[in-house]
Order: sequence, then C-alpha cells, then structure tokens
Amino acid sequence: MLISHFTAMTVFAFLVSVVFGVLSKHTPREQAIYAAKVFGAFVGIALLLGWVMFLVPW
Amino acid sequence: MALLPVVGARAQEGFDQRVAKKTIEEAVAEKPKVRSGFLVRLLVAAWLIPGCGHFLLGRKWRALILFASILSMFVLGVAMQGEFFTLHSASYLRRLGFFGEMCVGVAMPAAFFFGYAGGDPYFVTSDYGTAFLVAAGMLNVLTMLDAYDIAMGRKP
Repeated sequence: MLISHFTAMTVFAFLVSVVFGVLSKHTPREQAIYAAKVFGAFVGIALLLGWVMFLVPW
Repeated sequence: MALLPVVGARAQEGFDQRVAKKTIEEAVAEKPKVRSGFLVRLLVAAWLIPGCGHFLLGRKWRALILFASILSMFVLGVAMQGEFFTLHSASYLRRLGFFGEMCVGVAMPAAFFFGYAGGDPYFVTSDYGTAFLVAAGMLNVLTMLDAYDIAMGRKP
C-alpha cells in the first residue's frame, strides 16, 4: 500500500488518539473531545517540527 | 467554663475523624476482592484479542472501539509491508521490537499462518508499516492495563 508520509502520520495519529480517548476518559463526550485534542496535537506538532526543520539552515 | 467550648470542639473533631476513618474502612472492606485467577485470565484474554478484557468486564462499546482501532493499526502495518522482528537477531532493539509486536496477541501468529512472511524491508512504506505494527502492540498493552484497573475497581 503506497501512501505518503503525511497520510501515514495522520492515520497513525487518528488511531492512537481514538485509543487514548477511550482509555483516558469515561463519558463519550469527554472521550471525543480528548481524542480530538490529542489528534490535533499530534498533527500540529508534526507540522510545526516539519517547518522548523525546513527553516533551520543546517 | 471558658475552656468547655474548646474541649468540646476538640472532642467533636476527634469523634468526626474516627467516624470518617470507620466509613473509609467500611468502604474498603465492602469492595469485593478480585480473585487472582480471574485477573490472570482477564489479562491473557486482553492480550490475545485486543479489547477482549473490556468485553469480559461488560464494557462492550469500549471493547469494540479498542478492537477496531488496534486491529486496524495492525492490518495497515501489514498492508504497508511492515517488518516482523525475530528473537534471533543480533540487535537488542530488534528483539525488543519482537516483543512489541507480540503484544498485539494472536494477530501476529495469525498473519504468519496466512502467509505473511514479515514484509519487504526495501518497500517504500515498510518503515511506516513497522511503526504501525509495534504501536499496535503498545496500544494493546495500555488496553490490558486499563482492563486490569477496571477489574480492580480503580476506574469506573
């Protein structure tokens, strides 16, 4: 299965976020909100680090 | 006469503490003790099939979501030609990777049984696939620990 690194990273983040949300919180609403936050953090930080690595000259 | 209210307050405080302690002790004593045999069976079931521990504890929706997520991660890892580590490799990290992948349970031997020989390390997405396989195992470990906590009454 040929997919890009970004797609693999996003799918990975989604699956991990779902598991983290289910295990960490107790009500469905709390689980969904926490999973969304974790997913956002995964992808956001990865994008941020990508730009940092792009802009750093060495 | 002026000391009576002070003495009375201290006696009342001591009495309250004794009552509170007794209430906590009664609550702990009332919590049913979980048999170790049941815990072992629960952990083995949770290891072999992701989410099975939660299913045995009556958390069916949680079990279904965990099963679907962890198994999806494993299947995607196989689809991306992720590598199956072995115990016979010279590198300690690769041996750790074997244990990480084995934490998924029966999925890894099943993949072997159905002919998956461990992926093509030169395939473009093989590294991503390997990460997916090991991460699926690690998530299953978290799932097992969560089932244990629920069985012990530490979580609702």
